[in-house]
Amino acid sequence: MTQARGEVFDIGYQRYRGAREGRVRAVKTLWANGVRTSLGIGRGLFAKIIPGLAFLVLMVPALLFPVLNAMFGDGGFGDAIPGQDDYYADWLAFVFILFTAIVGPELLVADRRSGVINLYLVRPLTTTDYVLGRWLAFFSVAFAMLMVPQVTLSIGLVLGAGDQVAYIRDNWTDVPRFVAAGAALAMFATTLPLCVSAFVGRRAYAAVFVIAVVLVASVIAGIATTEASEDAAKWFALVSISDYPVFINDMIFAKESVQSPSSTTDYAGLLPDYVVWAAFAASVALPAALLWERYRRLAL
Amino acid sequence: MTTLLQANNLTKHYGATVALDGVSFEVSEGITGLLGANGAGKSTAIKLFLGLLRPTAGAATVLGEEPYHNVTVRERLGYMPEHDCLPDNVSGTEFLSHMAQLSGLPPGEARTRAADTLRHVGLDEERYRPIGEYSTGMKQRVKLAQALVHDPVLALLDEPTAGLDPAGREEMLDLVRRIGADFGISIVLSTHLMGDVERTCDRIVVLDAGSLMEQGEVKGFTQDTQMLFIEVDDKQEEVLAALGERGLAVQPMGTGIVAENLTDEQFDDVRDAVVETGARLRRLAPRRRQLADIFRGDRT
Repeated sequence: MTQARGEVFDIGYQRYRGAREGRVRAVKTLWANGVRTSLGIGRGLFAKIIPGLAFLVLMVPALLFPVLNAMFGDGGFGDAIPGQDDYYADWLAFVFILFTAIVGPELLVADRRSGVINLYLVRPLTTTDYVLGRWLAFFSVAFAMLMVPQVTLSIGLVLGAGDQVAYIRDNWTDVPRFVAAGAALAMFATTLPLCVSAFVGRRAYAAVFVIAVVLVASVIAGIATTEASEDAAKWFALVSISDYPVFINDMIFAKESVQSPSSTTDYAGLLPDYVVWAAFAASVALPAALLWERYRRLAL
Repeated sequence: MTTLLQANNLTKHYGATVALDGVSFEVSEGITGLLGANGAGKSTAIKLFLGLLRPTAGAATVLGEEPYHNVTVRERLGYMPEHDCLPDNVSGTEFLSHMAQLSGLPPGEARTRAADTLRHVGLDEERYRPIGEYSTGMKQRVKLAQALVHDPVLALLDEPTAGLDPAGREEMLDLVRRIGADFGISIVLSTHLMGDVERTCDRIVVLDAGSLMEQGEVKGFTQDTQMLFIEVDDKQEEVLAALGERGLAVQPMGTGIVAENLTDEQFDDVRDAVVETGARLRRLAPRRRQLADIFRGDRT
């Protein structure tokens, strides 16, 4: 019987003569790595729990609401069932911000603590590329997490409608509106945790700080709007920074101001639109500027 | 020989502190040692060549480009930092593939290069284990590998033997020598250890307190001098006195005696002095200069 024989040759070190794709490839790589990190892909089970749980919580209403809506319609639980215009107007928005506060620091703090940042920034990347790559990765994950339930809800509502063509004709404008409102919420919830992470040395501290800021601001705004006159209360509503995306959501969906305001969102509805837009823009632009400046001055 | 790196009147101030003071030198192909004590300006010079710092005055040019203004040049540069810079929770091969892509290589090529490079630095078997489980020596090899994975033209290695035991240090220096000689990748080896430079480098640039002290071929610094080194097992004082009586310019140095600028007749005097005192001769040889002499100001 003839035995197969093999021989291994060491051809030594080979020079690389393939393509070099420079900054574009570097930013793409950083983005892809950021997406994987945000979702816990390639890491232990624990890293996947928070994103998985958050996604599940965001999805449950989208799967449940169309069924309840079809079963009870407006006469039953209809009023209590949120539609696409207020899907992220209440506790789901808080769950989402909780998710971004916990996961966001993973993208920046770990790189600094391990020292990998020293290797990243000697690649064909500027600090702006690095910050932008990380922000875009987290924004992509956050936006997708917001959109999947909304799209699911849309499909469910269409399928549950008696006249599906009429439903689409009457409600198609909801789609660009929830996309825009989702983008606003994702921008806010992405930028603030990343900004805090740029200044804090531990992930847990960053997460706790963000959650504390959001909760304390919300409580202060709640008390202030209750105690103050209506004219002052609408301004105090701006203290609750985590509600800014909700204010924007209400403007995008052109909700009318309520006659007897009782929540910060109601009071914010009394403010001129440009004030709310300016406040929202500042709530994204200021942390973004701090984040960029912090990395621009980072001593390696 | 191609100039890879050029410092032209390079100056860097940190506030009132002058880290580099108008330094000019060139580095061409091969292995060049950047030698100096702590605080000499080596790390500042490397950061300037990587484009991480902006020169206060003068220019740091790498491969004909100023990396501070053009980060794309870094896709042909490698850098191994002195301090910890590795993540614990990813495997060696995954980390290297990621680093190759960050340097601009497409994903498929990056994976191939990662496997090849880990094999070349002696981490073939361990490449799928998380880096957190590696020994100090293995981590140093991963740090070196990430500097080479994208096949740079020039690699800047900052204290590559730091923290290694004597055997690990020897292996690392052999590897550095092989990279320069066999891989065709030019090296700048920043170190405060003269032994490392003498072992591995072709040329040397010596910095002292932010100024250029010396530069040139290592063999030029370690060539034979006009001094004779006489080492005896005993009666060193008597030999010293006997040589003095014969009118020779001698002085004790370490374990022996050094005689300068001897004529042929004076060599006979040395022989006679040793015989006369009955000292047991261990060594009689021309003295080679050592790099340490540079810092002693001995340029004979």
